[in-house]
Amino acid sequence: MSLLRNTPIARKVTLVIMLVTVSALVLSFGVLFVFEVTRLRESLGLEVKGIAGVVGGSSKAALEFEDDKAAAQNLAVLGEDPRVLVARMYDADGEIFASYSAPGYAGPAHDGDAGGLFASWGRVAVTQPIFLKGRQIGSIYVLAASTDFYDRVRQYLFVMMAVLLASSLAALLLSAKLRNLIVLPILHLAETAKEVSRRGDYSLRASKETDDETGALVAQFNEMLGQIGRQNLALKEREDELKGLNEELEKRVAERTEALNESQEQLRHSERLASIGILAAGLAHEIRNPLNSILLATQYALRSSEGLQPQTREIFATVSREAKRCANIIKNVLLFARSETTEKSTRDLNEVIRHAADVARSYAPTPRVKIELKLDEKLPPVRLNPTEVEQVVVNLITNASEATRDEVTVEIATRTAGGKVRFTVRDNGPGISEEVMKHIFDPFFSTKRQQGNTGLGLSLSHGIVADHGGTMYVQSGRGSGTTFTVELPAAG
Amino acid sequence: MIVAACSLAVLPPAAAAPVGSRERSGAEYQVKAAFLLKFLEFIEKPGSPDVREVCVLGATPFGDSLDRLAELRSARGADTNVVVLDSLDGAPRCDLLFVSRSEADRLEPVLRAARATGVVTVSDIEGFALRGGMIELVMEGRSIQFVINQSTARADGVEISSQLLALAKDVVSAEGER
Repeated sequence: MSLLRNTPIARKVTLVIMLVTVSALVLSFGVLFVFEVTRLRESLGLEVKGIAGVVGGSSKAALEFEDDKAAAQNLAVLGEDPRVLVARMYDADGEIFASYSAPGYAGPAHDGDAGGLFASWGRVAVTQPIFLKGRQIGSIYVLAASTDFYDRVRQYLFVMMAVLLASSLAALLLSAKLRNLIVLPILHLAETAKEVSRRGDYSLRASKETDDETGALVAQFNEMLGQIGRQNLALKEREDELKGLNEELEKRVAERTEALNESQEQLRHSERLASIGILAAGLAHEIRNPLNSILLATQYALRSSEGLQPQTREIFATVSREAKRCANIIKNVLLFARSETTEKSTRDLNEVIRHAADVARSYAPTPRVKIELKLDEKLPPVRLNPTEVEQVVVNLITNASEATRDEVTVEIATRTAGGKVRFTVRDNGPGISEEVMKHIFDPFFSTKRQQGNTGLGLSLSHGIVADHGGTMYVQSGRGSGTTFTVELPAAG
Repeated sequence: MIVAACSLAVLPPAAAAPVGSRERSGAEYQVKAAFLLKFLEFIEKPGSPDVREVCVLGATPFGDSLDRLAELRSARGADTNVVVLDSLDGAPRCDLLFVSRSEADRLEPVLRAARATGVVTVSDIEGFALRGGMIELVMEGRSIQFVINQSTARADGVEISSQLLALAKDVVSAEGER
């Protein structure tokens, strides 16, 4: 059986059909053969029984009168039948009374059971009792052989072999047809599977030609191909999605890395600035007193200037003006460098802004700068230091007005933004370059140094907003104006 | 017309031994007694009753052997009576009648009387069959054989088995003829 496991199905089918056919035929012939042989022997047995009965019956008187010669003569009559090999007559005591053997027969006188009808291979042995008026007076035994038994058996076997051969041939032809019916669809299926595997194309399908088990197998195979195809597609889509996400992630990592680098750079910058700030504060503190002395001295000189030459007076005025400017710078430096937080109270931001706008208008009373307020009157209160926040607003307005020599409109708007209070200062000036934007909140950074700008205004404002727990950022582009946005946490 | 068939009954060893005539006679009649009873098996007589009557006319030569054999036969289920008669007067009912040699002189009247009753007649009187008897027992050397007069038997309505006929030494078909 294990040999058959790897045999092609086509050969298996042929083998099965041949085996079934030959087995059925051999079994049928076997049964028929046994039946036929039994029938032959029974027939022979009945005939011999009849003959024995007649001879035995004719020998009653011979037995009764103990005439063995007469009995032997009676038995000799059996010699007329060529099938009879041995005949014996026994008396009532079982002793041989008379006997006969066919001429030339040298076999055993008894063959098998003498008790009744018995048949060995092609022979029958019959024992018949002889009764006289109900009394057994002896018995007769006859051993006979069928003369044509072997001929008939040979004939039967020949016919059997011929039929077996013809049937086997027919089965072989039939199996060839059946093989096509069973094996071809399977081979086709295997071919399709191979093609699918080779090309990786799950859209291929095996053709279903029958509705039997093979057809069901083909249908299932096709269904399976469909499922694999769909799964493959979904898998590919997921792969693409994953690839996209991966790329996105890599991009974000790169961005974050860049941001981190920037932050680190800023941190280093801030640290540097802090050091400079400390140094500047110390310096300013030391300079303030002599500067005050210079200022006081020049002011005194100017007040008692009646005797001064106009040129000298001009020099003192310049010294006084520049000394004031220095004092202002020192004040700002000290403000910027201060480390303690200022006192804050809950206030209305709109009010602070209105006041700041008024202050700014008074600083720059030219009609070139137009300040517009768009304030949200439902603004929640903010915890702040009004002087500082006012300074931030004034700084931003000043920054906008100094951005151009042309007319400029500064719009200040307030509104609530998610638990925070936001105010924007937008101008319609020339805008800020990207390069400038990078350093806009740096202390001492100024593009208007010649105009007497200290470069501390925006960095000071940035520091104040940070001290209030808020954020400040700028949006700008060349020719599209600049918007500063400040967000402060709402009180409460 | 005669149908000849050799029939032989071997005497028992005692009977076969060449001894004195008296002893020989005893053994001989033992066999003859057996023959008488065996004849009953092969003879069919119309109206045969269940009980067979074997009659011996005259001085019985069987001693008690015929009685013993009859008893044995009865014991096997075939009831048999042995009756010794002095004469056939009164028409005794017999199935088989053995005519002793003592009756040799008056054989003809005996046979006539017997034929009137349809009995099977047996005797060892020489020429019995030819003289109108049915079965004659004859000595052939050391064996006993019998001769059957079939025509007498048929005339008296007695059917003798063909097997018995086949065993008979001679079968005579008519009185005095073979």
